[in-house]
Amino acid sequence: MDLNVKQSGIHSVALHTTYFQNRSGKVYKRAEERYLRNDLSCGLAQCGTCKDFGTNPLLKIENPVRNAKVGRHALIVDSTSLIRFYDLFDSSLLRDLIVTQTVWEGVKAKAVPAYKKMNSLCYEDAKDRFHVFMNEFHCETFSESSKFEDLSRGEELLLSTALYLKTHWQKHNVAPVVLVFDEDSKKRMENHYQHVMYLKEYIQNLEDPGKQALLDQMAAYESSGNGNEKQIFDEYLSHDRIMEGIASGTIKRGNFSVSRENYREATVIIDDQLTSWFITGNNCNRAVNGDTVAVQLLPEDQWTAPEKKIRLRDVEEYVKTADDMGNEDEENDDENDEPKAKKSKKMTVSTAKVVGIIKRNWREYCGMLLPSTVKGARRHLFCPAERLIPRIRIETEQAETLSQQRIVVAIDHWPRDSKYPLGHYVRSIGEMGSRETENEVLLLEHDIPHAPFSESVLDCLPREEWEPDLTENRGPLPRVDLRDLTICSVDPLGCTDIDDALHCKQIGEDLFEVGVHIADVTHFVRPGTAIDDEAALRGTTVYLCDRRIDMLPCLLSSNLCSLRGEEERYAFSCIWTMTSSADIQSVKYHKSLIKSKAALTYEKAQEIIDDPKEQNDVALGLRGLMKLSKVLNARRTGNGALTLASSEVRFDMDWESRTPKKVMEKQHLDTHSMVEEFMLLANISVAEKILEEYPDCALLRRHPVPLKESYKPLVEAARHRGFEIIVESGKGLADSLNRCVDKKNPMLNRLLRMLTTRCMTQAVYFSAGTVPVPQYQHFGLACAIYTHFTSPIRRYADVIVHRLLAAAIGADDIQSGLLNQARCTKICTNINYRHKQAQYAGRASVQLNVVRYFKGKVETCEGFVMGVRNNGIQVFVPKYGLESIIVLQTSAASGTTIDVEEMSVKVNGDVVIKELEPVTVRISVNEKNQQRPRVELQLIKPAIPGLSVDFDLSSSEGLGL
Amino acid sequence: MEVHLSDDEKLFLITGAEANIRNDGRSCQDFRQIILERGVLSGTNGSCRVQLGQTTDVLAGIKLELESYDAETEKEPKQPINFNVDFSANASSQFAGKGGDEYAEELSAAFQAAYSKALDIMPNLAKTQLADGYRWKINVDISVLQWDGSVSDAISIAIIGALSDLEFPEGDVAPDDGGKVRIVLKRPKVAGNVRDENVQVAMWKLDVMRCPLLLTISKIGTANLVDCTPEEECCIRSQLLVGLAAIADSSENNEPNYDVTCVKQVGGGLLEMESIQEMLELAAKSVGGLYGALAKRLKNEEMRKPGHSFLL
Repeated sequence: MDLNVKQSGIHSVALHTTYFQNRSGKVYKRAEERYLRNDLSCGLAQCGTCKDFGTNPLLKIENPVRNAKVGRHALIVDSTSLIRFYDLFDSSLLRDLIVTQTVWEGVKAKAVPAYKKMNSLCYEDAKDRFHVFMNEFHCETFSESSKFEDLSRGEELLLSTALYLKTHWQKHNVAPVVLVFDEDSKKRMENHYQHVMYLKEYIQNLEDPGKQALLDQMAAYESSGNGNEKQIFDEYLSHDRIMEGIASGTIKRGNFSVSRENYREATVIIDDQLTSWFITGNNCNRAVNGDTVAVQLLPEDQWTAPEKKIRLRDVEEYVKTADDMGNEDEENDDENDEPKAKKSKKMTVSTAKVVGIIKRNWREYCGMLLPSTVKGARRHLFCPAERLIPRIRIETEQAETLSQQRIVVAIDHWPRDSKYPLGHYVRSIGEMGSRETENEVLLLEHDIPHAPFSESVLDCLPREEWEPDLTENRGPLPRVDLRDLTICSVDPLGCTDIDDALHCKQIGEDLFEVGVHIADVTHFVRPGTAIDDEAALRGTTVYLCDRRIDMLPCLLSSNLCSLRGEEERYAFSCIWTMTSSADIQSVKYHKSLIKSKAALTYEKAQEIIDDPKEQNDVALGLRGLMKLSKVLNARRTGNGALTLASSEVRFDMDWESRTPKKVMEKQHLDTHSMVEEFMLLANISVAEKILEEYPDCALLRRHPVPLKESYKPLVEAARHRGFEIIVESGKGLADSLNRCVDKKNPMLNRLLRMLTTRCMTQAVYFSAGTVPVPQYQHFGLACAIYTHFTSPIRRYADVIVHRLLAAAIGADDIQSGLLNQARCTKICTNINYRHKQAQYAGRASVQLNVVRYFKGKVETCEGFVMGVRNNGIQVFVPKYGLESIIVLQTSAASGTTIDVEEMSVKVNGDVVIKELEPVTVRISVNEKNQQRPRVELQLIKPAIPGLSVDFDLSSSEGLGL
Repeated sequence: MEVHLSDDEKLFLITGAEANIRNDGRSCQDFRQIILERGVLSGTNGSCRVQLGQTTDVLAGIKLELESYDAETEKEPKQPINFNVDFSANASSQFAGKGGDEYAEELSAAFQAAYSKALDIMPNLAKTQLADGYRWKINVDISVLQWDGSVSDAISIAIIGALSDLEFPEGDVAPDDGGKVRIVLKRPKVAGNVRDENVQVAMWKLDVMRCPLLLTISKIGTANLVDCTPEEECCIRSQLLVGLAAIADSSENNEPNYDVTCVKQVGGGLLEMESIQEMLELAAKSVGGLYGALAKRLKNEEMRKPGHSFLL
């Protein structure tokens, strides 16, 4: 055996032992046998011994440039020089370079761009100038134990190569020269070897005029600071110190929420008065959106202001086309830039830093792998679908397969010295881009329970051939037979879960009986059953463009509870007697049996009302309702109820292929507000009733009065357009919004209303008795109390309200737990969360379908500027509810400047774009990146020089916003 | 190996032993030849192979594990060494299948008992306690490859050999979040141009010279013997497993003293107190020589050429 080994060029075997720690800190020993060889080429063209071993490019052509310091020579570069000055090596002045294996590995591990450069130089572009010397496999240059006590391991390996080559090349009169970057390193190595030089020193001594260019180039690099790795983040305080701080008030706790515009900025709301502290850059200290953190205020001289700059990870990625995402310390990353906002001192806000994490909100995240540039790399960056979550570093061997899939990743921890949290791959959802996968991602991301209903839930259902039975009563108040009333329902086209129906009947001189009949869901969904538990968990029905995720099984939601036309159904009725001026004389509530005469659509109902020939009971009833609703509406608006706008878009779906065919523009009909008015009336009446009966456990809905400060964007925007917004009261706000009409820009009013919506917080469910009575009010609707009663098929809150009302009027038993405030609060927390998630999911689904809709299409549309930021404008396209960012590159050359104060874009001093002004944009789908097709906006009018790329704020994956 | 002896053969061995002559020429307190090699398994943190006679062959390997524990609840340092003995089914036909499991467990427990005061026996073992919440756990795995009597003696020698071969990476304690610490391997040299992993880690070793040896003392007829061959084991009336460790301050009176760290009776038969006393005395007498030889070997052993496993 020995003989064979010798013949094959193996000199000896060294046992190479290394110790390393894995990411959780465990220590491992790795022992490998290293076969040292004697047939590795030194690379010198003239060398007789090595001539058969390789290509040997060194000094094949005599170096035409002489160096003042050394004679014939070859250069051994160290890794620091290569990493910092890799561009320099393009120059043919530097020839006969040896890259040792040690240096190669070092560069590869530390800097991907330098590695790529080095790779192409050594094996493609400059093969004749470079030689890779396998020093760690050469029997003369590698030794396990160290010979030089004072040198670092790297220097030692470099030096032993130099010493070997020196003796090896003695008769050829060639000296190896070691080029280093570090001063100390040079000093140390000079003790052992004569030819050690700085790269700069070497170039200075070149006898060639071209050297000046190189030196200039070096100077440019030198000034760029040495991006030292080490610890990036401050350490967290100990639990005890945080608790002490919280007790003494120096540290506050709150929820960490990242800005949707700028991922480097976040806010933490620290008390009930909604005081928020601003956090930026590294002060975020490894907090992830949603974490409960401990924050401490910075000294006032370190306070900063929000940058007013759009910073989205994917935007930066495209702008930089930075491909070194797989790299540990991206040196040219501007995440390390100090936020420039520091300059504008006058605008500073309370700025804090995160000093500890009280509770992580980490979950499993859906997303995809970012393509890596180094082939076969194990470490990858994972890009979560939710853009508020940072990139996550994971290790995987199967990056090739995963790159085309949506995957789920969990975060393990975030060490202080890592820019990204470390995580691991959990599972794959499916092929990227397929409808099922994307929907699945959407549902998972929004934490929407969407599994089919379980057996035990389905067991709770009544038989399909259910028949009403007037004799079964659950409480002292009997069910009333209202089958002879002319009741009808009005709903959108294609609605199968009809949960409300109306009737109106004149019963006397200027006296009307008006009834709202709501599906009696609680008759079927009894408390404590599996179906009730499931509904409580789901909280709401979720509507996606191509799918509906029901809260209740189909049999109930689309059949037995749905108040279909000409079918007998149980209902919960709320019946008023009112005058023609809508003064309510009396109100009564009871369970009933109804038979809807007609299930109409909004359009059909409008037609019937408008057609004077229609004179049947249904038509008369509808007209009565319409008349009363107008009175109600006028009264409500008079009280200061707000009319708000949002960007709701619906798709006309091709249900065969489940692709969007066209966008349906929502038409507003009087019948919409007619139904709405009576639903509001019913909700308010019921709220009053249940609050009166159960003042400490009624489930109500409130909409907090916004803080005056939160109106700032709206007031500013309106001021620039010459309007004044009064924010002192709801009434003032409503009136001043009504006054904001610009004849030249009919959309202005709607846009301002949209902005108003954004200034407000969401309405929430709560249990009576948990907040002070004045805070019960619903600001948007301008009423003192409010609840949800009218949609029990699709909202769980209504189910609870039904039970409360039934208990209050004696139509049903009081079930255990119903009157428990703590339980009610618990239910509220869940349905608030589900409700919000359902909204987000719905919007995300629209965005997803916008992308699908625009596949292969280009359309030019009108858009409106919703915001001007330092580096771009936010454009809203009402037709598709699409909001995107167009990034402008402002430069002196193009004459384009952005004035954030005035919210305008100027070209050569002239204002061309102002906030809330219309612009024309071209919409298309950018499929350059096959993995992530995204909707792209291009500015058509006004044309601006320097217009560059544009990005989709509403998320390329249709998620996030 | 299974040994069957006739009554006459047994009588021959017994009377021989009583006359202090064994059939291979040894006296009662003589050991057979012992071969000890260290560093035989490159994958372990410390290893040792011991061969005894014709031949009992034992291989001990040590794996280190950086263990984190709750410093609040465990204030007292715990004995960090765990023993696990395994009999190869090839060692002897009596160990085929699960045959050796019970005996292996018994021996593991005996070693655990003999090393229960390990923190006192090895003065620098406390260093395995790196910081509050971190310690090295030492897992000693012993494989009995071949059986030719006196397995526990061979194992105890192999354990000492492996412990002396064991190298611990030095750890630096680095502060981490919330007042906790993290252990970072200490690399006295800076990396510079190479990856950290390739820079050697500083190592330290245990002082093993007071580790207990476990001797089996067998009673054959009226004689007490050390290191019995399988033939002799057929004639044994009773056997004691005696653990002995050198006492720290034995230098005052030139005679080194030994502590009995454990006594355990193996197999059947009854023993009188007097006989036990005699057997312990024999153990104490013979252990001195064995310690001396072991110390000399550990000092002078030349490490094998790297890259060659003991199988070659």
